[in-house]
Amino acid sequence: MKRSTLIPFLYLIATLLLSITPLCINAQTYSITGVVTDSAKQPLHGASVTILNDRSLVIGYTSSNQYGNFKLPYFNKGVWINVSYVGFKSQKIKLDSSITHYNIHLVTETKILEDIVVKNRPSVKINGDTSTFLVRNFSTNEDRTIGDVLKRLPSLEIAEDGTIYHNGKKIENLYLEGDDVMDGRYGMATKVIKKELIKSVEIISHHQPIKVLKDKVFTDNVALNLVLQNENSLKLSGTSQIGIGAPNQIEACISPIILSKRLKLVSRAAYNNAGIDYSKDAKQLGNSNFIDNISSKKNRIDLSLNSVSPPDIPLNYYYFNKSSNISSNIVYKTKSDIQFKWNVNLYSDINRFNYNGQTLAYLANDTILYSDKQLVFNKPLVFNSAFNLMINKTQYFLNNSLKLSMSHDAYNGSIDFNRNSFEQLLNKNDKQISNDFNWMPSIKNKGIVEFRIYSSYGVNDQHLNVLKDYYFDITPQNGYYDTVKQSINYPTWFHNAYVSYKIPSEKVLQEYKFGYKYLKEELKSNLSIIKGGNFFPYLNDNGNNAFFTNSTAYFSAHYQIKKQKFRSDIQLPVSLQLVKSIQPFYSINKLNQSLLVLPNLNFTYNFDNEKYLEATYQLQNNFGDISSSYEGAILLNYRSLQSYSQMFQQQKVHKANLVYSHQKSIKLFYSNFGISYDYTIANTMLSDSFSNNINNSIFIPKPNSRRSVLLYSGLSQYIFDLKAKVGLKIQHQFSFTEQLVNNTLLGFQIRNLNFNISIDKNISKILNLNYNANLIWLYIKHSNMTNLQFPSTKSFLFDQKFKLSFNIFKHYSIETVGTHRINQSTAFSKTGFFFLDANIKRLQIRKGMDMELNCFNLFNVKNYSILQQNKNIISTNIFPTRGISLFLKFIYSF
Amino acid sequence: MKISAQFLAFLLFSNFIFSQDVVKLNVLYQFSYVRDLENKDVPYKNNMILSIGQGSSRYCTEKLFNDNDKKILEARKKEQERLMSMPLASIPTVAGGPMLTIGKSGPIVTEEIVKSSLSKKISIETILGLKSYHTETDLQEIEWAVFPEIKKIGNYDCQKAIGKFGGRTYEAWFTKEIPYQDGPWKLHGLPGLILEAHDTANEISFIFKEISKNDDPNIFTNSFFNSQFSIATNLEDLNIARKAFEVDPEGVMSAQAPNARLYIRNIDNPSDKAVQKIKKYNPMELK
Repeated sequence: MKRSTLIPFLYLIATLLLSITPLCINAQTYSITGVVTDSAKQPLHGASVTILNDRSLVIGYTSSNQYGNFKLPYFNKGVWINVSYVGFKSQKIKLDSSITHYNIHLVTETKILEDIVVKNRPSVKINGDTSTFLVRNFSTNEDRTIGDVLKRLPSLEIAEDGTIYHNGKKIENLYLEGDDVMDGRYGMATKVIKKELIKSVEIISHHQPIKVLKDKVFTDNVALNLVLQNENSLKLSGTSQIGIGAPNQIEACISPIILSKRLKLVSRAAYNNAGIDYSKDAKQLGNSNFIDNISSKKNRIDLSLNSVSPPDIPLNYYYFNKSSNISSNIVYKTKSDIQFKWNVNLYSDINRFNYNGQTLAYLANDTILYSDKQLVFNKPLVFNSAFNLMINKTQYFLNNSLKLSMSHDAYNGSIDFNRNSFEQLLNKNDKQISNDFNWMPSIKNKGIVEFRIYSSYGVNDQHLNVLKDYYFDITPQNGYYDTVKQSINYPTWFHNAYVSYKIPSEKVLQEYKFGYKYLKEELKSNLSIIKGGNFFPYLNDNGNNAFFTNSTAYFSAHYQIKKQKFRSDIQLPVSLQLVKSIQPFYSINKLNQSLLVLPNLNFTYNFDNEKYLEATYQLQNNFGDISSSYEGAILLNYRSLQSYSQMFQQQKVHKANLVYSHQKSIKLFYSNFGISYDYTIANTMLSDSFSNNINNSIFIPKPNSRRSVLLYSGLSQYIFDLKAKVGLKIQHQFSFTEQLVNNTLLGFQIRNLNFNISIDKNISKILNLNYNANLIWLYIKHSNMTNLQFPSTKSFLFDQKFKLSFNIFKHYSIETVGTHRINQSTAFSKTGFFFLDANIKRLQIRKGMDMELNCFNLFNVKNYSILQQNKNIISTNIFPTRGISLFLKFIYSF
Repeated sequence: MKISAQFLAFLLFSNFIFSQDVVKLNVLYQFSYVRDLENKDVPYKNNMILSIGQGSSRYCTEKLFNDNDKKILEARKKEQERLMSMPLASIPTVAGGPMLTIGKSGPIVTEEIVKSSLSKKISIETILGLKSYHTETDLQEIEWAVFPEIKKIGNYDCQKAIGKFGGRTYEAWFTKEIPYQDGPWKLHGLPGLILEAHDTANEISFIFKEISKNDDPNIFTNSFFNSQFSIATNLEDLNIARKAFEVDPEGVMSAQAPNARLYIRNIDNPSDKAVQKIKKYNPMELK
């Protein structure tokens, strides 16, 4: 071996030996001590004290304690003692075997860590609140519409109904180049705008769109803005869709679009008979107006052909339709940023609705059975239009929206009622016009001032004709007639104006509002009977020619107070109300003046992060309007006649609720327990008279009360070993109410017990199971106020639902949903059904084209039945459903 | 005179206790961790930032650091002004849903560790799904043995040390050029900053990426979390919950927020919403 190779070899062995043996094992028993101080002789805590060898490698180390003292064992190979402390110059002292104690003074160093080179700042991307995604970077060839691209963006998700979520939070709105083109109904836009039109997607956090509110109101809202590829292009583009299915189903849709900086148009024309509901696309997903809706909540008098409510299953199971829809949304912006917007929507449909039902009405000494079997054809035609003007400047904010809607609804039905077959016709016309004006000037101080004026006018016209062979069962006119005719005409005026002043603050938020509301309603109604070409007026009353006004001046104060563990929300509205009712036919001219103080209080106390107690109290004082104060009877449908007594209907409701929530989130256990109590005092009581063919209900003056207690609890536990979540909810309600049934005062005790069990389990990466079961017992008992024999009724419902989703291949997704229900009651035989649906999607079959296959109702269930129980009435209804159907859809964009 | 000096010392010391400790350095590490022993090829990876002050440090995910960056918070305010030119929309708040952030190796865990070398305390803040948990324990001393091996990491001469922590043996590389007795995660106690560390099974590693100096005297090593909103727990329970979350994040989140729609965000591949399942969980601390 040559010398030149031997030396590195020996060196390597030496290094290896050294590496294996830690240096500090050479430590001896005696030690080195010392104290580290600064130039002011103050001790330094935490200074690094190291013993270095001849190569300046650390062989022993410690750090100084709070008195600056340190102690180190003695090292044979120790050559230096080094003391360093950030902000001070390091000291390196040669070890002297005769010295065992070192006093070390460190001198401050002005240039701290000077030698640390800023190589690269940690990669901080400063982009503020807006994240911009270039569409070309995020889209793939399979994507057609901007909706497909949005699904790919990190942090975004689109729900089935089209709602967009950002990080799980619903976005406030979707803008096209800064404009709310769709008036908040953006669901259609994401489906029809193709990705090539959009350059980038901006996700804007803390979105505060109103310039006047700048630096005053901070929001947590997230908005999405689609930036156009070419803002000067007026080119037309869009998507089209064709679907065919068995048996006899078709869908066709075309959506032309123009998007440019000044002018934007998003429109659609569509037709289907496949159970697709277009009203879903017109759903308000974002908010068209930034303030809450202040139009009046209307209780409408609604005539109808049937006496059943629609089934509680998705519409597409039983919707036999032929729907067409045309909608168009146009926005034009001037150079001075004045925005004009026009949204118009036209919808027409021909659908059929079919049911077969039985209703039992328990009376004091009798039971009446109504049996109904009806086929109804419905032809609605609806037109909605909104015109909006907006100026959003730093000096002021102004918005005015004018809305117009018109609808015509024609029904005709053929019915078998109590073995009588007859025809019915119903026509409804409705016109509504409203204007909402909003102005917010900019003011210097912290507060926000707002002016708002809302006005609306509407008229509703309804005509019900019950034709030949219908038995009119009202004394003294009982009998068969050619036509029984009910017509109502019902105009309404409503105005609401207010000024509000808000002072935002972190701890206490104050809001004051002063306003005036005015409601005016008129009701003309007429019930007449035709036989042999002759008109006979209804003999029991003269119909209605009623006038009703309600003027209210209101002042409300709203406070939100946060204080450590305590939070409260206090609303104290005070209003002065003047209600007038004039019914010349019945010589009624009444006036009621009242001062109402209706507090709404909420207090929450957080014991800690896992436990809180919340108490709520609310007082409501509901005054009826014309729909609950008409004297002349109105035939609502062939089976019910309704009227009100000479009185202002008034209901005082006290609502109290107490909830305690307790979690042990580290163990993934969650629970809440609550009790709520409602107490209602009403001045009128419902009096029902059931005869063999009709139910005549009158609200008569008789003070009465209703009580309801609800106990509820929810528990949820994640089972670590099974990796599954199990939830359990229990609810028990007890209520008491009184009413007159065929002139006998009856009290009803209603008990309701509800259990809900849910299980969520991820079986594997591709398979997910979700199971939910509901058990409901309902028990209605007559409380023994008289010595009557009165039956109690019971019903039971068991409902289970499961959902299995598979993601097997890249381009396929399969989802299966099953619903099973069993319904049982004392009166009717057991019913049940099992629905199973499957949906398969295949993306990218050809360039620009996708395919989707939907299979509905795989077990071909033909009927759906529902059981309803209410006080002394129990009913069952059977609805035919769309049988098994397969639907194949092709989507193409141009 | 003596009293006032003691008082000054007290002030200085109390500053450390209350963590008003100015950040001197930010060190970026790449953290890699074989969380699933059945899937060693795709370790969990995250960038972590250690912010060091005189007597304490904060170690957290880069995202958490960036989200709390002062410059970003300022930029956010400026952006707000620009946004005023946006059109009208709604003020009403909307209900949000929980978000689950995942990567190709499974759920991302947001974690923060504040170590105080003076008070010898370590406080851990972890977000598991929707909840944030904290626990504070004594800073565990690590018995390090130093070795004469050296290597250059970045521009720094580092020396090797071997120590045992949490049932694993770590090989760490520290530099006495940066005299902080600190390091990534729970590792600390060498006479210089630990720039690189990995366990002997090569399942966990911390690799130095960048270092930068902080000159802003108003940035402290304080926790980014407000302990008021976080749930106090102990280390044992936290580790059980952490395991449950890492193994079945969707299940844990839907247990935390029943009835809420869960939203999955995949930072590695946004269109893939399927969560990588962990078959054989490998905890960081074996005991």
